[in-house]
Amino acid sequence: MLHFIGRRVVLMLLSLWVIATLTFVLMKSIPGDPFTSEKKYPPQTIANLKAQYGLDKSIPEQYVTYLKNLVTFDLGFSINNTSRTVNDMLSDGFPISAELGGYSVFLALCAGVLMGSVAALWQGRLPDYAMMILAVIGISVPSFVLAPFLQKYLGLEWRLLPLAGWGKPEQIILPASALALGQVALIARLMRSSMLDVVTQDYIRTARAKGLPPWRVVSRHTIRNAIIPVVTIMGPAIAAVLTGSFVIEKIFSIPGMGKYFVESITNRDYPVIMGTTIFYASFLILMNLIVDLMYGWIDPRIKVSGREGS
Amino acid sequence: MSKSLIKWLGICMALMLVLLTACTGNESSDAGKGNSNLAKEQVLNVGSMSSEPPGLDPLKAQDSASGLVLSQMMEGLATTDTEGKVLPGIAEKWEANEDSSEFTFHLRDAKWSNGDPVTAMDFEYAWKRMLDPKNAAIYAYQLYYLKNGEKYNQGKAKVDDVGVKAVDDKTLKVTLEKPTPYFPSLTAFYALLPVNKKVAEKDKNWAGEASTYVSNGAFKMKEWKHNSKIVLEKNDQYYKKKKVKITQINFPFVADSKTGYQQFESGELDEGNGNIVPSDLTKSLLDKKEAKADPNPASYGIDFNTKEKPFTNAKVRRAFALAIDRKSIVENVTQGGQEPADGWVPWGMPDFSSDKEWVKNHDQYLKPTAEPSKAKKLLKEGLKEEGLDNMPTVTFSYNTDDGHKKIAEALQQMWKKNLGVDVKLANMEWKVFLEKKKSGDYDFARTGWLPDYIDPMTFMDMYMTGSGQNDAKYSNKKFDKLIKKAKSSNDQDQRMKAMHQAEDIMMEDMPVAPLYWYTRVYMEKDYVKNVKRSIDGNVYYTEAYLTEH
Amino acid sequence: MGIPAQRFEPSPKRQAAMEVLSRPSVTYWQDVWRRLRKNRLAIVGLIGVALLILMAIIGPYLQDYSYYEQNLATGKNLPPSGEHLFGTDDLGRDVFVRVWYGARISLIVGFSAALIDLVIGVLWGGFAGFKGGRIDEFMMRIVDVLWGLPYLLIVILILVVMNDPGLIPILIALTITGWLNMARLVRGQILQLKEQEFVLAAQTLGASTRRLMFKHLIPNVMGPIIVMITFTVPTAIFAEAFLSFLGLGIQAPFASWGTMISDSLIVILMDDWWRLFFPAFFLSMTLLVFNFLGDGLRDALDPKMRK
Repeated sequence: MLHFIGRRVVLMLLSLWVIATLTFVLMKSIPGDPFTSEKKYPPQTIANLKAQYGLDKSIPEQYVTYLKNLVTFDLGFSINNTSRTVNDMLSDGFPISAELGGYSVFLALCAGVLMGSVAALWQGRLPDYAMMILAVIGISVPSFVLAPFLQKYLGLEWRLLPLAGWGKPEQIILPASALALGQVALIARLMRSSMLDVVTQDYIRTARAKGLPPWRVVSRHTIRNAIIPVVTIMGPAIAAVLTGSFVIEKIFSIPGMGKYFVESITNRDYPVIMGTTIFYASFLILMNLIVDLMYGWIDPRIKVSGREGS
Repeated sequence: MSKSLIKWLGICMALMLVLLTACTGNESSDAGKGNSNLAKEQVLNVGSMSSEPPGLDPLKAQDSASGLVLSQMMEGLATTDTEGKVLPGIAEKWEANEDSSEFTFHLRDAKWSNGDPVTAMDFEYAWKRMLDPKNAAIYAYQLYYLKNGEKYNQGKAKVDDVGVKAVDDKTLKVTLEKPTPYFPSLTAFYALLPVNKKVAEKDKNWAGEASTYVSNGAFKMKEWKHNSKIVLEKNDQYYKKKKVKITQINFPFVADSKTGYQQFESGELDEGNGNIVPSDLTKSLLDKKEAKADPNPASYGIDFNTKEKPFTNAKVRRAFALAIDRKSIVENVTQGGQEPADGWVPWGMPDFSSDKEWVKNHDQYLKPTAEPSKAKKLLKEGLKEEGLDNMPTVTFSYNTDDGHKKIAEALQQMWKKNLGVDVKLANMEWKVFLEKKKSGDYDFARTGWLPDYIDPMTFMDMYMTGSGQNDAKYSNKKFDKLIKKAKSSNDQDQRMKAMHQAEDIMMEDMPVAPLYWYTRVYMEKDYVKNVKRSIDGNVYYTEAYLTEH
Repeated sequence: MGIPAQRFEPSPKRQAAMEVLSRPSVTYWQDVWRRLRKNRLAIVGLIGVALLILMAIIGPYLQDYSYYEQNLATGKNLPPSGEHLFGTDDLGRDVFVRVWYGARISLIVGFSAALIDLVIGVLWGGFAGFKGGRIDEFMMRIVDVLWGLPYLLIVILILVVMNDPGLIPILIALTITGWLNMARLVRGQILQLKEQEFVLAAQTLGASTRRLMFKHLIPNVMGPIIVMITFTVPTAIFAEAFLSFLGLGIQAPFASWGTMISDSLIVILMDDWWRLFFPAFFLSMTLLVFNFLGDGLRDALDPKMRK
């Protein structure tokens, strides 16, 4: 097991290096640089600026510098937000995005697993259809449509919840719900589908035949065996949600890190592009590793430990 | 039942009070009167910032968000009133030598928010810091007026050669590269603001946090919650503190205009600029008088790539310009009180040779409505001159934005209807768009221009041959000559005449087809009084106050 | 014993009778179709999909307007009426025609995305999961890398390289990352399934890798695959709007459901509900009928339900 994790960590670093390199190539190959603007500044000013950020050096030199900065976890100052370092931006923004994302993941998991199980157990009857309609609404109304609706009615018209902002507990409710809805729908549908696969299996019949109470059959045997697809998609979803949603944070004025993913690229803010990319990629790869480890724990028959398959 | 009745009565009473205070507020013309109904809490919530200001060090400030905060916190040697007239600021008075190439500024007793005196040395330090090539300040060129300023910035002169010197604590001597009578007005701009030398030398990143920020204006920074809000409070060290009634200004960052609008409606925001006015709601808000639109001396138009067939031909360019119904664009598409443009220099620009506006002093270059038959005729002639049988396929480019998209769709339809030409549309990410225009890799594209300074020249010299700003790649020797003439002259009548002649040529050649002149939209609760909005777009809350509401 | 030995004589072999089947022989797909037909909801879904495709084809011709024709002076923001069944938009264009015109683009994008998911995602994940070991590790690290790259950068690069906006760049942009979730999902399922007894049995009986994959493993993963696809379709439809906004997709004045919805968000604060409602309604309807059909298909494809 330890051997397996060790190897995966090495592979993880290798993947991160590939991602860093490709990102560097991509960001250097698209048109524009941090100082491209509508008003053209004197060439001397641009030259001074480039020198200040080391952009006057050759591309390979810049690449080596970026890698060195990445390894030492010091990407320096943002080019756009001149008074802030990349580390400041991430360490301020991440806890906020993660808190919001954490609530929404929790909400999505609880509601999704519950709804999916109910739909499967009452397959072809009213609860099943009701859940399906709810899920269809959940996937066809994206968060950028749902959020302004929630804002208008719950925030402005009925004054039940704050319109926007961050810091008070009641300010989490609207953005977390808007963020969770799509996930609830996906989890519920996946859960329903794999529950239906599991309930026809022999060991469920055996468990029932042995007189195990129905709720125990469901909780101990059915859900446990049906949850693999949910676990699979939750890995990357958690990485994505916890590092912030650009749209939701924008609509609800939440000072998370979601916007940096988009704005660093539109501003060509190279240090921030590198910082956000590596941060997210490490998180994502780590989550996928955890998912692989969880497979073995949920279903001991599964082997992902890197030995050749049969 | 009775409870809700009481509530309704309460609301009615409140409304009447608001109306009453609004009336009295309008009657009292100056800030001194009407104090009787000042609100107890003088806290202003402003939704004009969409995100974190990129830098509040005058060295780094280059955008409107930073400008807005700096306008409240910092004061330069001079200030300007809403009409752009120069008033004394930190400098009580100043005198110039005979040809206006040397200025001596006399500073008043002013203090920084930490109690330090504001000295002439703070100005000398700030300006030299601005020009230091190592600091790579974007706005360094604003100080190229100083003797050897440009050379020092290029590393060709020593710092001691730069023409600014603190004679003593209260006297600043400035030597300029060439005679510049309007130099004092430039000292109001934020690139020329002072910096507390002691503070800045101790902490290079002093402007990054509220705890280390030191200012010399009406307000000082109380809190900067990064990515979330900036809070200013009244600066008790300010020399005019008696005139300042607002005790606190909150600038929450509002990234989504729909959110900002709803926060204004719910009373969480007291005012804000276009940042809280969703563009599709502008018309109805203007109609309901909830929003106001001030003329903004800026132009929206279409750059033609004059190096790319068929737009190499002036007649073809004119044909495309004449096929546009500007009035309809303004009334039905943009709907923000804009004015159909009949020339490239916008409304609000002064003509320094007369007391009328620039745009009132020339013929109407373009009619507000389309002239289809004339346009079709011009197109036919132009294509023939270029040796083309048919109109080739052309693509109109614009940068990603809902407003630009709507205008482009309307234009496309007008060219189809009035000119019989099918135009393709292409939108692009902002910096890709800029690079494509700069490299001449486009047919025709939207353009917009905001003035660098209040003079028609800022809309003219950009179209000189080889200018970095000349995306149309336009080149006309006669035009260049007139602009050079206007630039070298100090006589206003001659300058204006040359520039009017230059605009005549430009509108005949039509490298750029003007569409409309901008407005500045803003919303303000009626209990907010005496906010100063200057023509160059700065907003000052220094003497603003709130009435009971 | 009392039983005479001649009683144990073998009965005569009658070749012909042995060949007669008591039930008609059905292939797997015939069986699927038979079971799908019995599912009422699935049939509703099937009819719904057919209707939508039909309307996407003929809808734009049912009214005398084009998707681009504007009426700036007098025809802006008109509510639904006999003249304009679904009203008009903020440039005075007929929403009915635009909705059905938009259906073409959105349905093409949705179907293509589903196909990408099904072809690349299922095969990639299925192969990795089935092979396991180093091959699995290598293939999944490629997925990680593609997932970790900043998508916006990729999109801008495609925009610059392709230079000509339209459906092709959109499909390329969707192909690069659209299948990653599916690949991981299928791999996870196969990892679990391949340890079950029926796979061992098939292997012992000498089934080939291909047969194992397509006859035994993938049919058993059909449930999650179908669910995933029903999610890929709307995601792709909205991704198209986002890409068009960036300049990659179909350009104005062409319409798609995604762009119509994201362009008319502001009506939440206005009274012109029809601009947002109709595209959103038909998008939801599409997903609903796809879900009906998907559920029916899942049941019909499930080998365990085969009788």
